[in-house]
Amino acid sequence: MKNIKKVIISIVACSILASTSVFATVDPALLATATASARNTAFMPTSSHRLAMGNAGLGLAGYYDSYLYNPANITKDGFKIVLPSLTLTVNNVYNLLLPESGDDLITIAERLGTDDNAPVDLGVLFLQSIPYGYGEIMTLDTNFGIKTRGLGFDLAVQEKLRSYNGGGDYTTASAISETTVAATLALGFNIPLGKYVSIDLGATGAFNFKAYSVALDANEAINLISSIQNGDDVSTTLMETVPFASGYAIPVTVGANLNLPLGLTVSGVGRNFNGNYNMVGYTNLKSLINNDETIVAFAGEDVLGTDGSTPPQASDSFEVEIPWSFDLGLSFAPKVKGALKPSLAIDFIDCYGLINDAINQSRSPVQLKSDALASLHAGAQISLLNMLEVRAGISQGYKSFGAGLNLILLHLDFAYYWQEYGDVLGQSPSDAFSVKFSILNK
Amino acid sequence: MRNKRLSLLVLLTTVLLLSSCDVSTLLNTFKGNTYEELFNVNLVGEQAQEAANAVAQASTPQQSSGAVEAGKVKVDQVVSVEQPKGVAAPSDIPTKDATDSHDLENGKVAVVDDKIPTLPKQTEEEKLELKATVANALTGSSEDEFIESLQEAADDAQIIAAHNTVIIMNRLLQDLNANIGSSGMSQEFIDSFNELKEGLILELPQNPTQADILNIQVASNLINSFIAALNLIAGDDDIDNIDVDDVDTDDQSINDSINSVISDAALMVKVAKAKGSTSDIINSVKINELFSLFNNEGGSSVERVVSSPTDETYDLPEESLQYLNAFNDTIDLIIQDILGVDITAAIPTMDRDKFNAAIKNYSDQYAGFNAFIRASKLGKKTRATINGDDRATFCGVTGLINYTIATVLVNVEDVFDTLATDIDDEDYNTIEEIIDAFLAPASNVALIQADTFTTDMSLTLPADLIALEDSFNNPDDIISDLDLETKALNYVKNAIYLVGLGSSDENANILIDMLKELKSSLE
Repeated sequence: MKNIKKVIISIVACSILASTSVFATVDPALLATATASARNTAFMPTSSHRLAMGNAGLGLAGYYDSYLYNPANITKDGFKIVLPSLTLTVNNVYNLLLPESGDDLITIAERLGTDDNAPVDLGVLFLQSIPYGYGEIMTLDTNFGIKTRGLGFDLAVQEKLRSYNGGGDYTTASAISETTVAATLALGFNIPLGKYVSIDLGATGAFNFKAYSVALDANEAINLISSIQNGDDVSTTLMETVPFASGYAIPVTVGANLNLPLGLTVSGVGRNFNGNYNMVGYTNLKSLINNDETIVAFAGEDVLGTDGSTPPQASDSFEVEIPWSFDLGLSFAPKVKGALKPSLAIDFIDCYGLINDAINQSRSPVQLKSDALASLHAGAQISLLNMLEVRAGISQGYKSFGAGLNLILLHLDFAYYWQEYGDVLGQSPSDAFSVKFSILNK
Repeated sequence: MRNKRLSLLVLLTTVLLLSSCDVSTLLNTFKGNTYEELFNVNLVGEQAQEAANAVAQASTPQQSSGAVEAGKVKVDQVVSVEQPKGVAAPSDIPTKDATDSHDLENGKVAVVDDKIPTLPKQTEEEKLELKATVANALTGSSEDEFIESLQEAADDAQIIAAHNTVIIMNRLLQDLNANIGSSGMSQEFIDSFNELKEGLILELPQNPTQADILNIQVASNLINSFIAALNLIAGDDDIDNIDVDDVDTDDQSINDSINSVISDAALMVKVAKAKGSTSDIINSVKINELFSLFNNEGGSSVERVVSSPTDETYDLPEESLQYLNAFNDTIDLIIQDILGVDITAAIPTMDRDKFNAAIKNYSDQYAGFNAFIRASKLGKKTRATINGDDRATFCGVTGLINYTIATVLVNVEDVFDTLATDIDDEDYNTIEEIIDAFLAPASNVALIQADTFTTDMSLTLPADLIALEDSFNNPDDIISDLDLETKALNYVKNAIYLVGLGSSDENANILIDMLKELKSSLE
């Protein structure tokens, strides 16, 4: 068990370092930007198959992690185990493949190894792909999961590189490294109400640990390069100079399915009760790892074996509010004979927030209209011989598509989709390509 | 079997469809929001229109008496002070153009009310877009909260600053009164002081109005001017040890400078009378002074700090230059804190010289926008840090800034109009980018994170800012960085600005007489 702890701590530390490896010293003030970026972002593992279906499907099961999106789904399907699943999501694909100027990603990739300028061009291309405002650059999800009918456990590590661009130019783009470790336990049961009607009830309790860096811009990259040129130890520089904030939340999510004849299911999910994060800012990663109460409680003191001269934390605790939400879903997955199996789903996300905003007039009429449209998600899937699944959907008005391939012990899913990061629809959309590998079960 | 054939057909069709598309076609197929066509909506456009309407509504001047709500004023408590009405844009105020048109010695002052030449105006559509861009960041409840918080900060800082000023100035006045009789100054000078002293009201009523606060500011500057003048004459800043024999009458630059400020004061008083509204000019001058203090575009901030209305500049000791530059840099850091934007990084691609020229041109006439940006942050800082009685200097500065915020906020329309008239299209686009860069993050960062900032400044304040804040605990340390000559001139100029523009003609004439006396003492 102790080894597992060390492994997890190592994953956290390494992932944070890995995702900030292009940056160095930074002004602590930029932590505010990072906090703003991380606000209202309840942890949710990336689900390629759902994203391909317009991020809909509260009532659809079939995947080991279906209960993470609707706890009531824990009662569906039997034993499943995933050791592990890896999901890589690359954002801003459109800008990478069809840049406004210069070579695209593929062209630059072909030059790698033969052209000394290619790495620089690649870096600039990635920076150029970052749109104005808040967004994401890349996400890597790692999940270990096991479930039976009514009981499930999932351990997820998500490394996310968020972006923030305040100036609309690539030189003003900055990145925020965020790592989340989430352990989720799910319980649920089914209540039969007749031959064709039943109710699924389920709940999940999670322990989420989140750490994120300050917003780091191109200046920090230059500083780091200078640091390397001066012969400084890069890892030491990173460990001792980049401010971080970390904290935890213990959110509870409850869900219910009303299973009706003909494969119809009506679902309701209350999400992220008690979901606020209690955060503390630290002057650097070393300080974080040695002082964060979650890490210390989990792995013991002095994880890094320092000499006790760790700088003090940068702030007292503060809270990042994650409001609870209520989602409604309607899905249709008839049990048809034959090789062709369709599924349809329509979800309304955060209905409570929408109504609450309307009552309190905390959003303008246009914003409310946008929120209402953005809450609508719909998708469809056709399964062929249980081997190939083709998916398409609409999420927030943006089209998505994807596919899944089941090869006995290896399962592959991919999705291409757009997502809105602006205040209203159409303001700041960004696309992404997500691919997921699952070993053993899907 | 039939199903398998169908499956195979679907599979092959899918593969064929996908393989027949190139990347561009495929990606463009999925680009765009289908709801916009499906529901025939343009939410971004609608929001822009909504925001523009909100700006138009917000920019309508509020009619108020300028009085503080009764029974709510405590020195250490945030209070509500309504904004004064009728704040004028500086473009209405002849300053530099009029300087050449007065002849103080002959008793003639010809106020030239020429407007500064304007470049082609932007179209209504462009203006609307600009307004919308700005207002996007300040819509709905966020806008209300933002303005409310800034106004509270402004009120808070102003009243605390005035309170502290009263304490300090009364003490200084007592010292001055006790020592001036034995200072060796001419009887005429002492008489001027006594006359002026009688006109000073160094009290802060329980329910102070904006006029009360202005009065305190004017009074404090008058007292400072007297002390500075005495120090200048004495060559020693120890009020208890004045020695008139140390007067340096050979320094022509001092004589010239004082002559200049006397002329300026006379001009400003006449302008104030001609305009018939002293308060309007006070507000505008505050903005311009503020901008001079914190602006780093169009030349060194240090130069602007000590510049007179006629753009005269004075050399400061290297130590003071470093201090002031550090202060200026810190202000930029503060902006970075609150807005999440690096000013220099926000404008990386454009011609900096052209930008600087455009900004200077614009800011010389209306410094509101830049002052607003800077003041936004400092306003937040004020709320978090002002808690002692010994920060009068800092409070004074921040009070001024916060007052500017409120002034600018209720005159957003004027800012835009000025923007539209002072710059060409290219520069206009640049300005728009900057507004984007500043205000859009402001809504996301500054407002939402305000509690974090105000409750835990150590999280966000860089070390040098904390050091700066500490330095404000002892204003004398800062003042002592300036040499005596510069300090005295600054004091006098500061008093000239405020008294000459804002107080009664009687007080202004007294001050002018005093300065004439001072000048003659030096000759």
